[in-house]
Amino acid sequence: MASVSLINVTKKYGRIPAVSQLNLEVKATEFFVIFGPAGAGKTSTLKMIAGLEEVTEGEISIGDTRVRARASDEIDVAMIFETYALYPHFTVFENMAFPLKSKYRKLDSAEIRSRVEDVSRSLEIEGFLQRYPAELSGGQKQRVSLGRALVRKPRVFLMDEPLSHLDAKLRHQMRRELKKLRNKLQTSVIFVTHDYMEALSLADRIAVLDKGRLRQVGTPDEIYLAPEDVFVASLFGQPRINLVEGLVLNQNDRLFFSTTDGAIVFPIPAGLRECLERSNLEKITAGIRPTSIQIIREQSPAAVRVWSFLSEDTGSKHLYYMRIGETSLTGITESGGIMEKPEKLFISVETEKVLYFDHAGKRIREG
Amino acid sequence: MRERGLEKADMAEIRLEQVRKDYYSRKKKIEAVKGIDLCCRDGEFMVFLGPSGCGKTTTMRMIAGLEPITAGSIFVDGKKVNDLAAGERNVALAFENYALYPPLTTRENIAFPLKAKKLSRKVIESRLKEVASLLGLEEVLDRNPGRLGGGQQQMVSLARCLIRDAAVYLMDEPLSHLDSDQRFQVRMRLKTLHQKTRRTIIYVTHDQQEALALADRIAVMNDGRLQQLDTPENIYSRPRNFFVADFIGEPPMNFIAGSLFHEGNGFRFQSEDKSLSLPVRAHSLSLPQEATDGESVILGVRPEDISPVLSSSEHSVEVVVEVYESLGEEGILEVRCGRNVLVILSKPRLSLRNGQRLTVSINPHKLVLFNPQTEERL
Repeated sequence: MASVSLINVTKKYGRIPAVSQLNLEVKATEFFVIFGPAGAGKTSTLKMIAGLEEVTEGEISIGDTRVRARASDEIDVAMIFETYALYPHFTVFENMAFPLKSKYRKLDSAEIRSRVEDVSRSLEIEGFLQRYPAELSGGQKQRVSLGRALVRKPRVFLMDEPLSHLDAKLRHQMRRELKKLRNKLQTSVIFVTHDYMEALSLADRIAVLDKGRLRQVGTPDEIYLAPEDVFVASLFGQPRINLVEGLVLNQNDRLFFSTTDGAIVFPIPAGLRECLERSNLEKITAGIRPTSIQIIREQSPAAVRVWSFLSEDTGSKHLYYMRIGETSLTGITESGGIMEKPEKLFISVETEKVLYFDHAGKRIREG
Repeated sequence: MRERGLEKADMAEIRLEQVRKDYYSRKKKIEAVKGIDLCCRDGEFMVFLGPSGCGKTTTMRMIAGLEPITAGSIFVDGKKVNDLAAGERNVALAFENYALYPPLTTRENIAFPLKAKKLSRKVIESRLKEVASLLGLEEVLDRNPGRLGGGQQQMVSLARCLIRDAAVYLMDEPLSHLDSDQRFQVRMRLKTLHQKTRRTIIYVTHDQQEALALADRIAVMNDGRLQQLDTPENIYSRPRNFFVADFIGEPPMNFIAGSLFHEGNGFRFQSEDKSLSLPVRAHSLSLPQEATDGESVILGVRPEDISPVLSSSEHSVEVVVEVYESLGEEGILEVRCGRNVLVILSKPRLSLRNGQRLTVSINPHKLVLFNPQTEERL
């Protein structure tokens, strides 16, 4: 296990920077997720850490060792790619022993056997050592693939979207499998993904990248509950957070959020008052997660009357698409049923869960 | 010529009677579709759903006239169309791979089917505008398809289908190349368009979420056979067999093998390893008319119908936490109960440790039972 640090790392392909001035500190034994949309620079970053790509500017170290390109044997990293890449004509044991048989390692067969057996016990695949990959389930193959990397006792594990080629069902299942295994890895893991559920589920901390720049680093709860900006808020959650533009109103010395047409009005928590007044913000954007919108059937003081033009069944939940004046909203409820045709409904917004952003998209914080 | 927008033109009811399709591969017969009967009503949004190789695309291609039918009949609005060529069947198509004309611009590609029918420029222009705004293609109308991303090309292909006046609209995985945000958007617009126009649509997908969201009725297919044809709600809560129950829902339904024993005026279910025991009464979703004591069954329960509780009851079981995921809006909890693993949909941000003991309650109204031999729901 080793820590990994990136100091002012920039990667350019030609004149275009794929990664700009990136600073990251991955702690020893941490499960660290690099997350972002396509073109964010995730894989370039991972390849630089692995020594597979040259760093244009800046410095990467693993433990005390500085990473030099094309010298990945010096830094002892193990990389797991999209596919498991097991040798089909080798047994599980032979697959796992393979990296240890390298002539550079000079390990005797007793040592090889004991390492493979240790790792296979911890991954609970000791019963399959004589089987061939074709006889294994997807989850077992994943374990063998991890095991083959673990026997080398790498200081850092690098994983590049290892679940992305699986169909949705298997991907969710494998994600939980991986989560069960992660405590047994006892090594630092850097995991690249564009799937926000993988990031939230697996990570100790998540780094959100966008166009080669770092947007936010934090625990899954920090990222979800306290996103730095509109960009980060929009990437986590499906359907996306509703972004509603509006104004700050002061009525009887209480602050309210109101859409520009006045169709939705709700109170702003007192904690945000100081910041709003200090920066003299008038125009703000409210970020309302679809789960913070409750569909109610009757009028009540807090209720907002909406025109719901469509609802969708998604099995355990129902999605509502709504319009209120010039604002469009998506809401999600666990019950309520499906509307046969467009309908007038009432909604209430869980105002304590609303996030507020300034005109530059930065989240407005308390204090 | 009528001057209209995208509203519905022709009546169309699609009926399939014992439709079969055999292929020959290396002189071996492969039965791709093994006798399908179904009726897609006029104005209905029907989704063909199933895993790859289930015969859903083949069935759609036979309706389109792109594949000859081995046996059976297909009727469009009461008229048998078995021997009509694709062009004579009055169907509009959108495919997963786009089949766009590379030298033409997006605008020309979309308008192509209307130009071919010699509609007036005014009609073409107004419909083009409507369909381009529906699918968010206004900005790219003058570009060639080669300069568009995969998702946009797929939207062009869908636009070219929707712009037409046809009896029925056939779509094969039309959203598969979009990212998840776009998919939500286009799915919503497509459904809104359908509610407005009530065109007859048959839509093929392997994505159960998409099927549940879009369909008036879903035809679930597997292994060349129709498994169930029903509303999304019934497909989800009253699956006819094990396959449908397992295929629909994410996370999938939990299944526990066990046996039934008489108890009061109902039954008691006991899992094979005796770790789990629950009453099954008249209010459950399935109750066998009669069962011998010790009869084998498979119990099914959806992840959202199990929840952690503070005190035990006759509907609760003791479990051990295996893994807990906090996923922003929801949590997924995997627990062990004897030799059974249960997946539970729960709240996010709970403080749960691996190995922790927990009592969970199983909603007695939502239990389903399957016959382990026939795999049918009891």
